[in-house]
Amino acid sequence: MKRLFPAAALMALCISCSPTPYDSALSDAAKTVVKLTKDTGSNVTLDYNQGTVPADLTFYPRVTTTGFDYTLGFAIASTGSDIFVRAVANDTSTRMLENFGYGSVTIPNLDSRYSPWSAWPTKDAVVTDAYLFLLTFDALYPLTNNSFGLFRGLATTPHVMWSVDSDNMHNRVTTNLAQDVTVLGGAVEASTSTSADTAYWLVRDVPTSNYAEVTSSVTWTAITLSLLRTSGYPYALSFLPSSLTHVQYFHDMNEAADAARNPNASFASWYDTTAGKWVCYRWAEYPVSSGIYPYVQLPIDHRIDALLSTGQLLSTEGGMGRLYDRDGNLLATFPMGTLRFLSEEYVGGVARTYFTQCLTYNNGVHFTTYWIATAELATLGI
Amino acid sequence: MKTVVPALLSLLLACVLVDAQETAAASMGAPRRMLIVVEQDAGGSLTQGDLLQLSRSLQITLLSATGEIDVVEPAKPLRDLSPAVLDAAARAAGADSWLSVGASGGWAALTLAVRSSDLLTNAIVLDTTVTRTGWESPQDLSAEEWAEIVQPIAGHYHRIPLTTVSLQHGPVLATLTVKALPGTRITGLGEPALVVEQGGTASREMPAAHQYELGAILEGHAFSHQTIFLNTDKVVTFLQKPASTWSLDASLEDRAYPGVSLGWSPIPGRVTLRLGIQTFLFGLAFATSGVVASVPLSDIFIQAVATPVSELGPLSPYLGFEVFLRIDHPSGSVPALDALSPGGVKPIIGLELMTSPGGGFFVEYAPILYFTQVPDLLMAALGTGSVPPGWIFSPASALNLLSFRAGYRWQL
Repeated sequence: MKRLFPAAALMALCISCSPTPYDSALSDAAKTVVKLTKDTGSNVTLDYNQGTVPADLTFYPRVTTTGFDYTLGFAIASTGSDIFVRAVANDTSTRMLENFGYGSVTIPNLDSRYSPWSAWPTKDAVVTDAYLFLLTFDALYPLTNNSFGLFRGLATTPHVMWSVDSDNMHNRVTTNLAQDVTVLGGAVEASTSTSADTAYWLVRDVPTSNYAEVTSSVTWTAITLSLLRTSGYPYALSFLPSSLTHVQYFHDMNEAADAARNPNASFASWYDTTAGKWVCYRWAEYPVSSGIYPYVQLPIDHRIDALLSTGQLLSTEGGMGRLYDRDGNLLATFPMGTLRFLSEEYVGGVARTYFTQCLTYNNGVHFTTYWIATAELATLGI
Repeated sequence: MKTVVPALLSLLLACVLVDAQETAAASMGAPRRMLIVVEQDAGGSLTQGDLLQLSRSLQITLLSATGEIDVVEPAKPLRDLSPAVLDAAARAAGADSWLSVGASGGWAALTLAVRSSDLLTNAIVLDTTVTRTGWESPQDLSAEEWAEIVQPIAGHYHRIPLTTVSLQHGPVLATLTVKALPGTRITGLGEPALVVEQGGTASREMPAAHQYELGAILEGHAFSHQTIFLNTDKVVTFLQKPASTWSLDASLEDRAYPGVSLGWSPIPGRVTLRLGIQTFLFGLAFATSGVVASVPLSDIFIQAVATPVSELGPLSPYLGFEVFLRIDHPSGSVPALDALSPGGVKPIIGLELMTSPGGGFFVEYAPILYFTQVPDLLMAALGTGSVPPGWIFSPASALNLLSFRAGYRWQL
């Protein structure tokens, strides 16, 4: 029997080669996930059979006025140089993300060094598996074509694109602006409206290299543009480097509803290659002095990914969630790891901030969506 | 892994079979010890090398035919093959029988005078002459079976039953006296086990010229053992230690992740509580991704184990239960409970092999039940793409059925 012992011990150690469950990013995500609410019906499984799953693979379910419809949506991922966008419907073929092949759109020349892509879904009708959403990204070089499959870029150097395939839509966008512009950034704000969403864009006027901000009411059939500030259009924003091709841009149009957010303000966040860090500026609607809008650099050195309905700014850069007030004061930090910001939506009149996670197991990719009331976002802080 | 497991199972099976054979053989008694002497008459033409090969041929065929005999060779060459000389030489060598072969002639006409005597019965077992002709060299030995010699030898000599040896053969038996604490059971002397009486001694006559592995088992005391060679009457004293209150474990778990624990026994030898730490900072992965695995996790655990047997033998089984907390301590961060699984429990089935009163090796089967609020994240954190063998997931837990721990335990 004594001879059995070393053999048994050796065998025991060898057959117990089970991996230890650990992944630092997943562990970070778990710290926050346990404080969030899993959205009902949010478990979505897609097939992916092309090797390593991109780390930023995200499934955006269709937005409805009562929450998300997880049977439809679109998937986005990047590979460092390209962005892949794929419509996902409730059928076998589109639920197989085969290198985003059939039915997908590839947008080249993503500059992944500093800025990833951002997607802004709208709650609008689904037409033939196409969804209306805004996609913003940074490109290494100006894209000469402003049409990529189902997509339409804005102007001639499209760093902002709408997922629409209507030439009429494109024409409507271009003809509503008085002259040739480059769109630098944009975002769709969370809205209680059930009829239309509102998007804000920052554009650079090509002839003068000055700037303008545009508000747009978006429905499936129409994007109605108007200038946000008409005074001095196009006006100088001297703090914006002229070489910038893309900024994370947001506009807070809530002074009427919230005195603390008076005056209305805009925010721009970009990676300052000279300083080697992200910078963030806020400029207000007034008082205008000699055609210059008052501006201030905020004490924020992380990428801003969303302006929330509370007027707070959310950064998810580097796998860490950071919540700032409109003055740039840090309100909370929370680990995100593999968790990704999805969007902010109103459900039952209450603004929710949604996060999503893509997990790889059982030979498939599994998306789960979580939410927290935006007003309680600071409680995630560690 | 798929190839390693069958190999290990085969190894284990082989160990089981060998162990079973040896155990069965040992239970039948001690083998006979036979002195074999091969010499040449004056005038013979064989060389010393020829005689050596002739002796080897006889030994090989004899040992192949019977497992009842151990062969002993004389310490020095014997020129005189008289019975008296052979009797004395056999006893001096610890043998209880002899086989003598006197060779004459050469390979072409070889004559062997063969005799064998059983010292236990004073019987001449074999006295015959064997002839071989037409051989050219020692290579002709390769096909020889020596049937005239082997068959009578194998038919006569059998193992000595340990408890039925005749007392009339003085030199063959010796008295073994054991001094130990009263009530101690002495193992290794056949059945029934020898029990030390109130006076602290116990004796038994045993076949001499044999090696014995003695063990002393007494409730509340550590198992101790001695290996002795019994040639003449002998006294063996066991210094028995009470079962320790404190113990220290050093172990390897799963992918050879190290751990240590300190044990305290409220009922020494029966119940032990342990407090320990297991770290996953270093382990052996045996994976294509690399040999070494490192995970910034450590478990702090408490165990309660009890052995169902009252007397600690060389092998002690035990059962237990462990509760652990898992600490996540990535570099540069404040250690905290692991968010994927802050802890869990393990039932334990263990076996300890005492190699000395001061300690022994142990192996434990300890399946892990992880508690988790995020089983899907825990599954993804395995990094295996699919659920690995031995894992079962539920909405609030995950079970790893293939977890083992092995190590050494010092009795302090």
